[in-house]
This record gives sequence, structure tokens and C-alpha cells, in this order.
Amino acid sequence: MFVLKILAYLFGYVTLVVSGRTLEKFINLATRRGIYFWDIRRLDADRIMIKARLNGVKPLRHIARDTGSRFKISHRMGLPFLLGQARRRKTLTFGAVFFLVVLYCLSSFVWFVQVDGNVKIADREILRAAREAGLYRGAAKWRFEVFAIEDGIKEKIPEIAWVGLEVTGTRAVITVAEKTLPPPDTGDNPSDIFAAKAGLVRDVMVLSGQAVVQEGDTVFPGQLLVSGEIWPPEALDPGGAILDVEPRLVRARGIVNARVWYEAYGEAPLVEEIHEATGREEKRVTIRVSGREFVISGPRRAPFKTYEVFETVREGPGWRNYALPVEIVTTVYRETKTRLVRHDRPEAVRLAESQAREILKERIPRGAKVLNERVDLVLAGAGEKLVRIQVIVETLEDIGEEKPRSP
Amino acid sequence: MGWRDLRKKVRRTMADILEIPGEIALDLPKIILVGNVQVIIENHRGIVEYSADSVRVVVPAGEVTVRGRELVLRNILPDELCIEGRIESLGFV
Repeated sequence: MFVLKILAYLFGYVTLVVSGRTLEKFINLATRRGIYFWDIRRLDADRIMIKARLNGVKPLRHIARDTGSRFKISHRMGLPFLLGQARRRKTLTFGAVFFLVVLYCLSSFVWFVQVDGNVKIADREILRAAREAGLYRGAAKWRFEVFAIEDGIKEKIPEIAWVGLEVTGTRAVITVAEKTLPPPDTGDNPSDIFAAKAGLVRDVMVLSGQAVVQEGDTVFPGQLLVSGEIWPPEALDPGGAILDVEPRLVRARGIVNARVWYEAYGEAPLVEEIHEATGREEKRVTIRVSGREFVISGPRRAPFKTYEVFETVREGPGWRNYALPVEIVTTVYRETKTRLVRHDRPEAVRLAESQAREILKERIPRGAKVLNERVDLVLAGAGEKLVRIQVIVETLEDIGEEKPRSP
Repeated sequence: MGWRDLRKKVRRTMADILEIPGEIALDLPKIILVGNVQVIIENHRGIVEYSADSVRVVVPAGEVTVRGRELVLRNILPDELCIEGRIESLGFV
């Protein structure tokens, strides 16, 4: 019955007031003709009120004529009448449609950003990182990828171990898990200073601890530079007897400046092959059904001699774990042309050198002072059309690296 | 005993043996009364009288009279109708 009500509403129905002497006959005739009506109510001796479907009104006219009764429409209900009304009230209809469109548009933005799971890191900081990654109040949902935001936040705040972003409707919830960092080493836990890299020691300045190396020593990575053990003077006396003394353990502090050499190598060809797009391209659309491809439009084979291929695959709609085994593959072939570019020698040298310097830039720490640098041309083998360059940089830097003593 | 009565008797016996519901085999109305608020009559043949106090419905075996107050024909289909209201009595003629 409920379904009938909905159908009646969809197709529209009317409330009729029927007046006449033989209303029972009217009802019987109409029912036998298959005109469905309901909610029949007696108003008085010769009037009843009925509800009937819109498409039944016309046949009812004939029946009314045959039974000598008349009817008047008192109410019109249902969708067809609403539509008619809507047609008359254009501004209202426009407003309603406008409202829905605006609602839909607004629902594709993120309006609320929540942060969850943080203990030590302030919400503001996480929100700022999210903003930099592209998620903020008012961000369009199609403009960012969830995993990119997650990675971005993780990258910006190193204290975060894990970030989860969940966008539900217009709300985005950032869930973070903080790293449990070891307590910062501010105390005086015993430690030693070791060499972080190989170098030639130029000066040693000890603030606490015992220097093990001195000026002029060559040290290797991992070598002990300043020890955190301080032995009493009598224990160091070479001629003295072995005493039962314990060393005092301190946190070793000091600066060990050493000359460090870096070298890097760069090369540049004298003749370079460059693949350039000529601007000509062909598009091919294929349907891939479980491994087999059917060409819909475009060439069957690659249309150029040298070319680059760009492929985009669109998968069919899936449901849960089931994916339609149909894919639409759009392949774009772009013709390329190989061009030989000749570099003259000075230009190749410049290229090779900048390549080598690029490598060095990453390896030399920021605080290092450059003492000396040398650019060498390495002889290339006969017949090789290459320029090889070696750059050697000598720096002065603190090579000490503090490591806690294991108890 | 006439030919007609014999046929009716055979039919009833067959219906009993085969356990076919009576309203199908014997063309009887099926009347469902829900408390005193609703009557559903299946297999009817049309209405004779309808007013707020009484409804008379033709059925294959005769006529059913429903008396009450504020009676409304909630639903009417070629073979089924539903009466709602405060029902006081239901009678066969």
C-alpha cells in the first residue's frame, strides 16, 4: 500500500467531490473499469469525497455522465502539480536549483580541519604544516591527494612518526602519532668525541675530557679524538706502580679542527644527443579487456620512427574488492627527433665542473671553511669525446662527533 | 436433489480432500476483521450502499453488512476492499 501511495504522489492525484443519487453505482462502475481510487468518505446524503489518480479523471467523466452524477476537483496533489507550480514561479524554482547547486559545490571543499592524537606538538603547528602541504579550510577536495598531504606533514614535522588523513564530507581529520624521542642530552652523561671523517688535525681545543690526538695527527673516521675518561695524574706516571685508581668520567667537550679533503668528479660529452619533440603526435584509444587490447581509434602501430609514449589507463568502476576487468587506455605517441649538439671544449669543461661542484655542495657541511680548491682536467681515453674534471676542495672543519659512553 | 446441489456437494468434498482454501474452490468471500477498526473483504462483487454508518457489500454468497461510525472506504479494487472506522457489527444476509 505504501508503494501505491508513493506512485500516486509521483503521478499526481486529485481529491474529487462527487455528487449524485447513485454514488454506489458510480464506485462500482469505476472499480470494474480498473480505475483505482481510495479514501472514500461520505460528506452528506448525496455527496462523497474520493481520491483518484490523475490518469483516472478522464474516464471518470464518462462514468459520471452514465450514472447521472457530477464531480468537482477540490484538491490537487503530487509531483505533476508541483512541477506546474514551479513553472509558474520561476524565481522560486531558480532559487531552489541554485541552492542545491551551491550546496553541492560547497560540499566539495574542506571546511573543517581537525587534529587528533597529538600530545606535545601544538595543533597550530600541525595545521600550519597541513596548510603548506595543501590542506586548509576552504581547500578544494579535488586539488589535493590524501597521501601527499600525509607525506607533506610528516616531512615538515620530524617529531611525527605517522600521519593519517581522513576526509569525510567537508571534514578532514588529521590523526598523528608522535615519535617518542630520547631525552635530549643536556646533562653530563659521560661521552667521548670521535672523528666523523678522515683529516689532518690542525688544532685541538678541549673544554672537558682528555685529548688523545694532537696537532699534525692524521685521523681516520671513527678514531677517538677526545676521551671522556680522566685519569688522576699519578696513574699516568709511566714509571709508577700500577695503582688501583678509577678514572673520572666526564662528558667530553671540545673542538677538533682538521683539514679535510673532498674530491668529486664530473664529465661532459663534447657531442650530445638530444631527443626533441617535433610537435607531431598521434593519439590511440584502446579497450583492454582482461589482457587483450582492442583499438577503437588511432593507429594500430607506432606511427613514427622515433617517439615517446605516454599512456593513461582509466579503470572501470569497481565495487568493493571487485574491479571491472575493462580498462580504457589512451596512448599518445609524440614524434621525437634526435639532434646532435656540439659543445666546444671550454663549455664542456664548465659543464663538467659544475656537475662536480654540485656533488661537493652536498657533501661539504655548511660550517666548513674552504681553504683551498683545485680543478684538474683528467685525461680522457683516446677516441672518447668526453671532458672529465676532478675538483678537489680542502676545508677546515670540526670533525668531532660526540657519542655517549655505554655504561 | 437437483443437479446443481449435487455439483456443489462434489465440489465441497473435493475441496476438503485436497485442502484447497474455501474461498477459491467455492467462490466465497474472505473477510478479515482487525479489531473494530478495519474490515478487509476479498472477492467482493461491488457495493450496494455506502454511508458513514453502514456499508453493504455484494459477495458471491449474498451480502455483507458492516455497521459502525465514521466509516471510510480506505481502498477499493476490483476484488478487494477495505473499510475503516469504528465498526459495531458485521452481518450476512
